[in-house]
Amino acid sequence: MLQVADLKAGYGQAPVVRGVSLEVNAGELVCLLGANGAGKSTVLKSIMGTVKPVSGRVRFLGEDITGRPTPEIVGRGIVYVPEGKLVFAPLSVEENLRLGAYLVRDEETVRSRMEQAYELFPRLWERRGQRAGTLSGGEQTMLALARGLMAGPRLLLLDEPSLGLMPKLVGELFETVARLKETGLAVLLVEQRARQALALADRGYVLRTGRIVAAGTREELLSGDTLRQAFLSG
Amino acid sequence: MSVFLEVSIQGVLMGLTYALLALGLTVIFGVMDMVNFAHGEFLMIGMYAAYLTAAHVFPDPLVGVPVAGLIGLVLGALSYRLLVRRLLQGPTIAQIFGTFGLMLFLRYGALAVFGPNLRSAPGGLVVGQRLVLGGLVLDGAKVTAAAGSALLFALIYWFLQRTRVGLGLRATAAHREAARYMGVDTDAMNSIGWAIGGATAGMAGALLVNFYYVSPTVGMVFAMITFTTVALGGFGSVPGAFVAGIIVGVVEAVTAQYFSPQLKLAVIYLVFFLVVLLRPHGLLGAR
Ligand SMILES: Nc1ncnc2c1ncn2[C@@H]1O[C@H](COP(=O)(O)OP(=O)(O)O)[C@@H](O)[C@H]1O
Ligand SMILES: [Mg+2]
Repeated sequence: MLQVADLKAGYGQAPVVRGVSLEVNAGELVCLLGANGAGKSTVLKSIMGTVKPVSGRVRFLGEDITGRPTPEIVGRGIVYVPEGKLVFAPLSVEENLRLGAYLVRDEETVRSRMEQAYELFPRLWERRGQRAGTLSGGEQTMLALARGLMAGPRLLLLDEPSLGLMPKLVGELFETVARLKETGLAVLLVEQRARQALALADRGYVLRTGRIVAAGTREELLSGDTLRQAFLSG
Repeated sequence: MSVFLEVSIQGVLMGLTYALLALGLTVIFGVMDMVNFAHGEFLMIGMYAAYLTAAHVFPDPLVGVPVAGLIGLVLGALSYRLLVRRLLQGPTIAQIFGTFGLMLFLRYGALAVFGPNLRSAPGGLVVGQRLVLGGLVLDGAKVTAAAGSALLFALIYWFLQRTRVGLGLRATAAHREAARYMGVDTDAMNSIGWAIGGATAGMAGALLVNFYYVSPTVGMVFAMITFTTVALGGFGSVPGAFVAGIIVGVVEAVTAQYFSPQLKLAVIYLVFFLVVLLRPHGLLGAR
């Protein structure tokens, strides 16, 4: 479904991603693990076209989408749930959800997805008229995820959704992600909580200073000390 | 009817046009954190559009309102496409001088084309009409300008709150990067913001022509008041632009009546300074 080949990207002069190749197949949940500053977000932003790759290729459903404008990539079915949630603080919860479906022109579809979102997160229904900025951190995480689903993604990129959540909520979040996978959605999950994320995943990659240093199935990555090594001083 | 009340009503009337002018500026600022120094010149061009329509096509500046709106819309969108978009790649200072340069270009371009003379509408349906409401005598042209401004303000507000593109504009204003992740074409939103700014300024200008003279430098007078209005209401705040427009209009009228017309701007700024001391982001500003 998604193939990233020898991707190099950075900000200005400094290279941050130095040759990353990875793959997500239909229905798979794949994690991209790595310490803070390893370049995980930059990989996702390069896929989304927010960061223009210096070299390398991104292919989605057989088509080259390298460096295409972000709205086009969203239109093709890749939806990014950004790190730090980035909800639209002055807008209502419902308006945030509507924005998730900005490219969906059929009002019926928007309405039925909105219902699904409220079913998945009843808290958001209670707060639908409230400004998103007034929600708690946990609620904002739900909102960012629900907003992403409103687009009807084929592939969901989740950038450290557990960041800043209380441990109890982290468990709930990962359960929700596991349920999304069960519906057949392909997910690329970026996390620092390696063990918890791998527990849900089919496969994983470990990123360290812009390079993939380990890759394999959940079992392969959980055995041995690849993980521990990868997270040593990044 | 007390003089104070009558003067205040005059102020509200003028304030509604200030609110419309502030709306365009605040939308551009909200969407892209940029001050359009040429806003007063958009108004000036709208005034000439209405004046020339009245002088040569149909003898009423009201007919010029849609003409001025269309010209303003195109002017705003083109200013963004041809100039501002390139400036965005440069440093902030280039952006400031860029729209400042646009202001000078339009102002002195108008001077070259139209000459320095002041011009007034030759007449029209509401020009010079007295409107008597109970004990209150109002200028029909000013009432028309106020009503037109209020209507246009409401229309833009509705557009921002109730349409898909309006939602895209507000999302871009709230968080540009996140808006892109929703699939919002933020560059198109910039264009639309500038088109709204140009169209509203142009139509405000056409409405003003019913009772105000036109000259190449008329934009300066209104630009100063508009910038203050936007800052008073809070940069990027649409309700703020409305409230502040009314306040500025009333303060201006009351000052002119009880002190001296020369003090108008000084007192407006005094009020502005006092508000900003207490609320640095303006009355309804977010950040
Ligand atoms: N907008 C930016 N401008 C410059 N450098 C950046 C920017 N974003 C991230 N970086 C740098 O790129 C490196 C990788 O960042 P990032 O991809 O966010 O890592 P991760 O998501 O794995 O924590 C870090 O050293 C960070 O400082
Ligand atoms: Mg990150």
